[in-house]
Amino acid sequence: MSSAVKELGQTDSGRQSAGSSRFRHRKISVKQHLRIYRPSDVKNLDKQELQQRDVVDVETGVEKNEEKEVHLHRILQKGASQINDEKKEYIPTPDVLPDWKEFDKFYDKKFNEPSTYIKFSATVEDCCGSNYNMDEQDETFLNEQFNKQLREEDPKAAILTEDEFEILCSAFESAIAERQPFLSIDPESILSFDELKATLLKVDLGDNGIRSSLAQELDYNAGKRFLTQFDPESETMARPLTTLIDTYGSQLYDYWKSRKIESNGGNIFPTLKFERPGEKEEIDPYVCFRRREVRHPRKTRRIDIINCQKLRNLHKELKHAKELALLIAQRENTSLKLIEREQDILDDRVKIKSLKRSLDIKDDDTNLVSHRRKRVAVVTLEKRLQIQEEEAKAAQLAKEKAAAEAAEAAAAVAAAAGSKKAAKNRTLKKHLEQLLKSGQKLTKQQALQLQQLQKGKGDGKGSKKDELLGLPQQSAEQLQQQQLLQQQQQLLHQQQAPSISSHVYVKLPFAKIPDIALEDVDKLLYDKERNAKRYVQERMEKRKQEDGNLFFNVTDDPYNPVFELGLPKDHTDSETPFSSIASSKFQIDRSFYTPNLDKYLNGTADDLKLFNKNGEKMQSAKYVDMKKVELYNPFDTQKEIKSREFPIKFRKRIGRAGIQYIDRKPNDSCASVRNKPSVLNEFMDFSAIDKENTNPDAVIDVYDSKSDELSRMYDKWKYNSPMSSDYGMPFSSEPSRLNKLSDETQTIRFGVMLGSKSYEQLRKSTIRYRRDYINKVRQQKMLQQQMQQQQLLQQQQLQQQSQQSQSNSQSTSQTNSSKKKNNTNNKSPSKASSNKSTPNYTVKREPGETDSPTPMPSQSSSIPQETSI
Amino acid sequence: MSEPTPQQQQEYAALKEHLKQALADRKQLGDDLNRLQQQVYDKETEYFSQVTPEGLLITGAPVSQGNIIRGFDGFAKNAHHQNTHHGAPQHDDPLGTGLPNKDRVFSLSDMEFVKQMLADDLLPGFDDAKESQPGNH
Repeated sequence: MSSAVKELGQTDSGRQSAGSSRFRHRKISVKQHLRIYRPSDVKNLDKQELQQRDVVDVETGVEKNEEKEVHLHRILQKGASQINDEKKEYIPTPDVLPDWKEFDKFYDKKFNEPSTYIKFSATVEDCCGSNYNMDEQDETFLNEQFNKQLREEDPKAAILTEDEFEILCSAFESAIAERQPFLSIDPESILSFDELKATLLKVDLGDNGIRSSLAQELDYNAGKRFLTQFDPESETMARPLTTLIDTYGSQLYDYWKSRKIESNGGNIFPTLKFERPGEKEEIDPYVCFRRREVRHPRKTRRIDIINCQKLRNLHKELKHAKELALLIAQRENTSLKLIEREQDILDDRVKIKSLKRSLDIKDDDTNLVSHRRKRVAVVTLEKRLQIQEEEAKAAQLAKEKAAAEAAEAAAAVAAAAGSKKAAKNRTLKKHLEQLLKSGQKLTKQQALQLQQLQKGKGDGKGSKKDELLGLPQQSAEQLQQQQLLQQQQQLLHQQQAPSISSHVYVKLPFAKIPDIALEDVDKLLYDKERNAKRYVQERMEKRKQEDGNLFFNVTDDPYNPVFELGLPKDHTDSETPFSSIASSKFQIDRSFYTPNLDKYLNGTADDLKLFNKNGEKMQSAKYVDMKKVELYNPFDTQKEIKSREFPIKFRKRIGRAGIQYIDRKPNDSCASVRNKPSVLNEFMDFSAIDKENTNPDAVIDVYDSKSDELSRMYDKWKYNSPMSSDYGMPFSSEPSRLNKLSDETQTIRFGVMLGSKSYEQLRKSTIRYRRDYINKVRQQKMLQQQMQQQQLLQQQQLQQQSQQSQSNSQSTSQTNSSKKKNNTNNKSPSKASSNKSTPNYTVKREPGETDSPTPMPSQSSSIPQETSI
Repeated sequence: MSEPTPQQQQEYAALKEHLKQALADRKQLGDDLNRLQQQVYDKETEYFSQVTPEGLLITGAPVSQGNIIRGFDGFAKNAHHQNTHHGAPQHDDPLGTGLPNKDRVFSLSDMEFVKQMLADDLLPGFDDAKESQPGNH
């Protein structure tokens, strides 16, 4: 069209019509309504309007390049003269069939508005049958010759239909087009059938070929022709191309070949001319009858690229669609087969059952019972999400569990270890064992649970996931256990370690999983237990040592177990949960304090006798309190000890006949405090504090606040202590305690250390002093020697000079002096300046040392400085 | 009850064999069907949504101009015109995949699958769409 437009532009400019300059020719587009004028309307059209519309004012009525058309050209050449001619020239046009019977078949008069406007861009010709169209010659050949021959050979043989003939011919055409695209150059060189056969059979792009390949792809083999819902149910269908080629190919090919050669290797049947964008319109007699196409002008390269990309995208999308559609078809085909199979199974079962009954066969019935069908197990995104959430939850849960467990184990161990009251290791050991066992068991259980959980998930996911999950399960279990054990061990070593978040899901390659033998677990547990025991033992001994033999300590005696803990009867070891909550269920079976603890506590024990300080026995019931070994019942929650001092002092001694005496002496300071509760009142105004506390809304005066004062006082009392924290040991005794020595030894040691240190220092300083002194003396000596040498030298020089002066006495004094100067200059010109200054200097500084006032030429200036030191 | 003749016994055996074969076939077909359904679902996710079949959001992927589900409206237009159209309604697409369940025309064309999924409550968005447009179903 672009060329046409150009032509028009030229004619426009040539003609210069007023209307045409205003009116722009536009391409015909579907969006624009075009009015159709009938010949009768044209008369009524107003000139203006016509000009505006400008039905292009072309000379001949056709476009410029169309004027070249042979017939038209001839007519144009003759010009007006031909109008009167007898024989009129005309442009030959193909005959129009007045009545095309099949019109209704292709052109439905009823128009149904489609959902989309473009369904198909192929022309009608493209989609009806094959590309080859028979002509009369073909028809006569087929009917008169080919089929007749077939009939003669075998009267019952199926004749070749016209459709099949066309299919074969188009197959030949496309095969030759592929193999010999330039056949028209030398038509005689056309390939023989045998040479072409491979190409013919290779691709079947015909309707049939697509069908069969589709059917093959879908695994559709119902024996019938593959039909889709869109295909019309047609009675006569052409046979597949392959069979056609095999049966008729060679015979038909000879005929087709002759026709091909006849048409000089071009198309046998005429085809429509198309406009080619790149091609110059050549003089073509049929140029009038080409198909006009809207051609878009070429735009920028960028647009081209974008459009290319778009086309590619479109292609991709369509490919996706095709793929999915195929999958759907496969799915439906499969489910159809499934249904058929179900039917089969049902039929079989019915038959078998009746046969079985009639024949009285006893057999297993497993195949006769319908099991529940497996659920559809497609993993949708939602499901995947769900699964992921579950996994995360499970992992979290496992983590928390493990952490809690570890922490608990640590706590339990720490508690057990820290308890100073337990004396018999046995109970402790038992307890520990229990805890550890239950802990271990739980980890096992947990691992199993996890495994089950994962398995359950795996089933849901389908076979793919199952395989993936199956592998690491076992190793994960092992790993997990090992980790937990390691952790517990660690915790035991640390004794009071805080809970550490454990990493249950650590993915390790198989090679990196530590190769720990299973016996090691027992060993680890044993080690742990032994360590714990040793630790407790050490602590107990230490504690006992602190008491020394000073007094009889019943309250805090580490070797005296207080309770025996046990489980309630309905609990067994294995099912006891390992947690702090559960530990409250332990029951105290017995107290091992002393055989008659309650009596000692009540003061009613018989084997204790009470004496006063004078050695008189006291038997009165009112002294019962005195008999109590424990003034404060440690198990009485009501009584709190608020003093830091022991209210009573005890002392154990062993008297004659091995009788143990416990001397009891009330702590006076303590007692006085108890008796006089008002002592503190001297320091604090408690009533004021109470008042403050009961009145929370009041604004607190920072400077006068009594409660604040109290808390500060309390802190002072608590922390500003000259004593070390534990058991009232004097602060100064700490070094001895740290060194595990007696205080006396520590003192001696410390003294010795101080002495030796000071001696060391003294020695060092003395040595340094001596060394310095020696150095100084040595330097002085050296200097003196140097000086003496220099003096000697100078004296010699002087003597020489005097001799010279004597010999030169005849010469003038002027020359003498100049010579003298030269002399010095020759010796060392660089030292001239120093030479000049030295005489004054030396004279001033060392008047006694040198008798001669002569300078010292070779002397460096640093020498006097050194000597001054 | 007559004693089974050899012929009858043979027939019985043949039937049993046939049944066995049919059961095996059915199992195979069922597995195939599952596989196909999964494949369709995954392909659909891969082609039309903004997430991978594993549920990971694809970032930085070029937004396609259209697909056969959404249609190719404005496909030929330039990209910047398109973006305005792309504010697709998110209300029925809780996972932000760009492919709400009601648009899964391929995988959900199997009623069996739809039923199962609905029973498991794994098709949010699909049911809603049904309710909101009762005329279409």
